[in-house]
Amino acid sequence: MNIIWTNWKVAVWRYRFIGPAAVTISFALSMAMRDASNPVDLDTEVTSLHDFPWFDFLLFSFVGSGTLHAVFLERVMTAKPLSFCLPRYGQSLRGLILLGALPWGVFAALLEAPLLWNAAYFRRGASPELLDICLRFGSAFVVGVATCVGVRASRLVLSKLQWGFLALASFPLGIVAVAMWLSIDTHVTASRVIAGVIAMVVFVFFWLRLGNMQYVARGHRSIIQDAMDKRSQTDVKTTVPSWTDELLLARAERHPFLGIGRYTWASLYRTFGAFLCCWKWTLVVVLVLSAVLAAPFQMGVEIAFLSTGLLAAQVGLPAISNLLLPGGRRERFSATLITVLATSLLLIALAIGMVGLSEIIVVVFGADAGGLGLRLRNVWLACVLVPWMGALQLRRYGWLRTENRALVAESGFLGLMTFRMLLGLYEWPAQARLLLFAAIALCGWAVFLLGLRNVCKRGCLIEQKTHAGGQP
Amino acid sequence: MSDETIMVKIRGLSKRFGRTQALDGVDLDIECGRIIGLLGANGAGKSTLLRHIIGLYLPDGGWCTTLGCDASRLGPAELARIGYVHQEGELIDWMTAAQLIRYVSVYYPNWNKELEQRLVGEYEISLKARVGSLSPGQRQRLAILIAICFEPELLILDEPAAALDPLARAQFLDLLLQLIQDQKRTIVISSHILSDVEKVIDHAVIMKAGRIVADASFDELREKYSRVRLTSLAGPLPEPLDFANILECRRNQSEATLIVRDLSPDLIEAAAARIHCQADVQPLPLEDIYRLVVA
Repeated sequence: MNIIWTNWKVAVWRYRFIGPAAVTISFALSMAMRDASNPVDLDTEVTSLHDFPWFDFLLFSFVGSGTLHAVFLERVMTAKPLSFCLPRYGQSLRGLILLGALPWGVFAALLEAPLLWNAAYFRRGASPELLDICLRFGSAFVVGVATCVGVRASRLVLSKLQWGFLALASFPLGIVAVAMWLSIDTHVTASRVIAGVIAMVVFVFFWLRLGNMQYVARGHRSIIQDAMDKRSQTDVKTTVPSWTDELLLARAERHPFLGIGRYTWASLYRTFGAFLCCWKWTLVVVLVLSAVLAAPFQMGVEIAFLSTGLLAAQVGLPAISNLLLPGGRRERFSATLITVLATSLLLIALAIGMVGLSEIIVVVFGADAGGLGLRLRNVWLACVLVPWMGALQLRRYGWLRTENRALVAESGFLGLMTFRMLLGLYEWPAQARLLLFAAIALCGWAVFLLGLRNVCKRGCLIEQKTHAGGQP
Repeated sequence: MSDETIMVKIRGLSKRFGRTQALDGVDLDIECGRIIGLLGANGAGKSTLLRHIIGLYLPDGGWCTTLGCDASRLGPAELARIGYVHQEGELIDWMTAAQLIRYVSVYYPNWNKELEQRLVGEYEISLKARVGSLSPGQRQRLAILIAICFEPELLILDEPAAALDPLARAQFLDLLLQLIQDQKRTIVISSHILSDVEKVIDHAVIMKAGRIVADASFDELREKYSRVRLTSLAGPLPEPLDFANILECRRNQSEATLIVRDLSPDLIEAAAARIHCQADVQPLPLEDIYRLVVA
């Protein structure tokens, strides 16, 4: 177990952002489950702490965190090309995959709990029998373990063709399976037992194959080959549409050389081009979020709008750049300020667009939560986060790197949600609430502007990467 | 040395990152037209010093002027005269090589399209390739291209060849040799690959623990340190050898190889004649000089 233990310690530190991520997801999940088990009150503006499912939340947080850690460790240990060279790799492979799969089983079983209590029994006033409970939890556990083993092992022990077919078929099959799992109401226990038996067969198949190193070696070769092929691909896959070049770069070219105008337009091209080159995916995300808004979940509204706010965390600011261009500290300040303002405006437009689109979805599909999406007041969530995320972006060195930035952003999400819940405990006049949100937004802008001024006046204008000695 | 000929002037420059003293009272003058090799171990403060020159870092103590302007106040006009290649060659991954070149060229009034096309061909840069998909070597070539196509007066190269394969390194050195033909261009090159650097530099600055331990022309350094091969003409060599300033000595009964400091060839010849030896004096390669200076 030495290899596993050593790598576990490394994985725990390396993927330390997982903890807050799990807490965030658990929070959303707990709220969604509460909403699912209680009718949504459309007139209630904010959620409250009174009926928050604390037990579910804590359970999901701890088990979710452990599960994700186990999965990342397993990914590091099994799928990386070099891992095949580790001593006693063959013997530890099954153990590793099982180590990642067991927490998934526990997690799946826990997911069954709210369904059991909230949906199936409590709502009907029936009490569950012990055998019934054991069968349902047991089958959920087996399904969770088998699914994880199948997903992780399939790439290693199936041929590329088999794996491709499985990957292709798994999407519709997965959706059907989950839908069946959730919808069968009359013979719940029987359906869970059947699913458990099928999962057991899948598990045994992959377990036996994992013991055969011929299959594993073939899978590893295929993974390495894919990595090599990917590396040699130099042809462009996605880039910004040509109209972006004309809109922003050509506009920059109209301004005089070495002026702020040219620098700013070119900076906007650099910043927003990163999003525009994947505009199709952006469109898909917007549609999905709009559909979430149209759904009858109070929590969905916050998630949808916060997602637009979190986009701001990914916007690169021209103030800090390793590419030296003819822009002094003054030019960097102006360009950064304009970039963040443009981001705010775009996100507000996006949020308003999502509200409108969600209303169309409600009308077209006849959902029964009409009107929920039209709450324009939720747009503030997108606006409030932008300056805070901008301020966060300015501290892009040292420990505050990619994964930690996500950690801080998620902590901000949690903080905002908790704040909203705390607000719900008291009777606030509408104006006071408005003032409070305005104060948060103003504080964000103040912090951002002070931070930007500090960076552009006396800060380091280059992203600092700490080496082993701690010196940039 | 008049102030007009000095591109960069640094006095008492200090910088601290947490508990690490990155720069400690650095004084340096960089004259116009010089090719300066900035040498030092990892963490010696080379990159930090270069970043102060272009105003990306501001000092805790001391000052730095670049192109006659305080480095902290460098504006577009001054920065448009400075090219900088970062050791990690950070570029914009989502752009294609062509888009990146166009994007960077937008900023510069004196972008040399002809040079750009020539380098694209010589470096075999695929213009349609996305920057994020390029190998480290290709990225570095692209970084070098965009740093020199506006023909900067001051070119700062921070470990430019670290990611290049031997062939690309040779190409890069050829390019550097072409660039230094322009008498007005000043180049500061920081590198670990001393065998490459010594082909192009005319001045060496050696750093250790945030301080400059040697700042001299390369010729002066080569004259200061010599390798002497002694061959006895009559009987065994005496014990000890009657030579001043010996830094290293390897010997057997009839032959010895010495590394000496501050001895002219005439003095060495005279000392060798006294002990009935034939002396063969050779200059030291930069790698050995560096080792002796930082030791």
